[in-house]
Amino acid sequence: MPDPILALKAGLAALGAAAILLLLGGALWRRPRPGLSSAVAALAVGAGLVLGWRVFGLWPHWPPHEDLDRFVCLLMPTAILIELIAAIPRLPRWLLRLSVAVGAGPGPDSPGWQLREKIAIFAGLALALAGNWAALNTLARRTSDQAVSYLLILCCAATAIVLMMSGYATGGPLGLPLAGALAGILLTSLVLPRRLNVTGAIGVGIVGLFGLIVIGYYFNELTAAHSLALFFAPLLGWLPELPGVRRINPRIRAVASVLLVTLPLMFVASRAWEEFKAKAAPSGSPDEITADDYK
Amino acid sequence: MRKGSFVTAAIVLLSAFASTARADDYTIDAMHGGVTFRVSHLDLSNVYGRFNTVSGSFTIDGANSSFNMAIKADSVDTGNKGRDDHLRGGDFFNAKQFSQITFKSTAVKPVEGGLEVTGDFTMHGVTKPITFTLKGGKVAEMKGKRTGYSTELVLKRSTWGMDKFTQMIGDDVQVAISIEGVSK
Repeated sequence: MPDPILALKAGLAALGAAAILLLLGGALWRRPRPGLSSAVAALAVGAGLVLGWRVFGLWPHWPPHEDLDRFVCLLMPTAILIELIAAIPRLPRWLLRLSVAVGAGPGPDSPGWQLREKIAIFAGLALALAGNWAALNTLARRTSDQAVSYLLILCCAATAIVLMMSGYATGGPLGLPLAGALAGILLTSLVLPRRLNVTGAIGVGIVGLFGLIVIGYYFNELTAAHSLALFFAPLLGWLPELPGVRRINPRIRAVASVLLVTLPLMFVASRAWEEFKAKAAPSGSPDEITADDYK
Repeated sequence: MRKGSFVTAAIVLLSAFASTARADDYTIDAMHGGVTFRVSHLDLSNVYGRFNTVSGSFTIDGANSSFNMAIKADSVDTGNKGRDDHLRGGDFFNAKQFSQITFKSTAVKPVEGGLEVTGDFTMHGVTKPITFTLKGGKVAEMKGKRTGYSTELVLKRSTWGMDKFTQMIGDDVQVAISIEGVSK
């Protein structure tokens, strides 16, 4: 497991870098256009990621050699670039985002699949990512970008921890700077006097969350149940927005939304911790006599 | 002219016959032999491990000898499930992506007591040339003609892109290989 102090430093560095970049952007514009603030938010997440990963001492191989290299060098820069382009008015932004979703599956040297199987897996994963992305963007419009950013921060941090405990000690920490950078966006957008559109940061966050889970599931030991729970947990934030529940006080709904997302994440993290402890225990002979044999 | 052609053809035929008669093809007997390794932990102790699934074949024919070997990366076994899962994952072998470790010889030179073998060693998706000396070559009979070779070599794992945790777990890995082949 990585040094927790270093993990905290990396998260804080990402938070600081993203916050400063968004603050600078906020200071420059008096009446921010939604597209512009969204693009700067996406760039700010990118700056946070670079600094956070650097603090962690994570640096990929170039040209990309394995899943982690592809995540750092290809997937995340592409997600940021697409969010920058999507900020230009009258562009088919969801078509652009769908192209990221299609390319975000496991790498070209994925474990021994037939072509038909590969197409089905990539299509299924692309649909899952695009569906989750669209649902969270709609939720952000109904509530606020800040509320959805908060849910994503929880999921990215939980994914990083669960991925580390599932045995990927150098891949898991990639999620902490992602959570840190999103936290920088959230805090800055709360501080700035005008409510900013940060859908670009949400887009980069959801692609990052998806990429980490794909790495964990397809190339490491992240279980299917944990992967699904971590990826779809932010959608539980939709429950307080369903018809009938919407009449309840918005503050109560906001707290309910956070709790609904946090509880399954805590459950997954505790299960991963139990599994980690069991695996890390020294192996003994299966015939070894234990105290339980005398009960 | 015709006499010359006949002599040339005879020489070619004879040398081809002699060559096939000398070459011995063997299949690696996974039951006897193995690939083991040791690597330092914090520069304090050594952790020992092995690969449980090794296969391949070789041909012994002097300088025309050749060796092919394949190891399943996920068969790594250090006697601790948690550590083995970690070794199979992205921090080390990334065995789901790079399932095979292979060696294919490109040149063999007979030396005293064995063979100096040069070839392409692929691990973690990276191929680099290595050279080592195989000692052995005695022949025995047990359910067919058998021969065997052994070697020990040091591999710097970062050369093959396996460069995580090199402060904690040694970059230099001492590898011991012993193979026994059964004549095909």
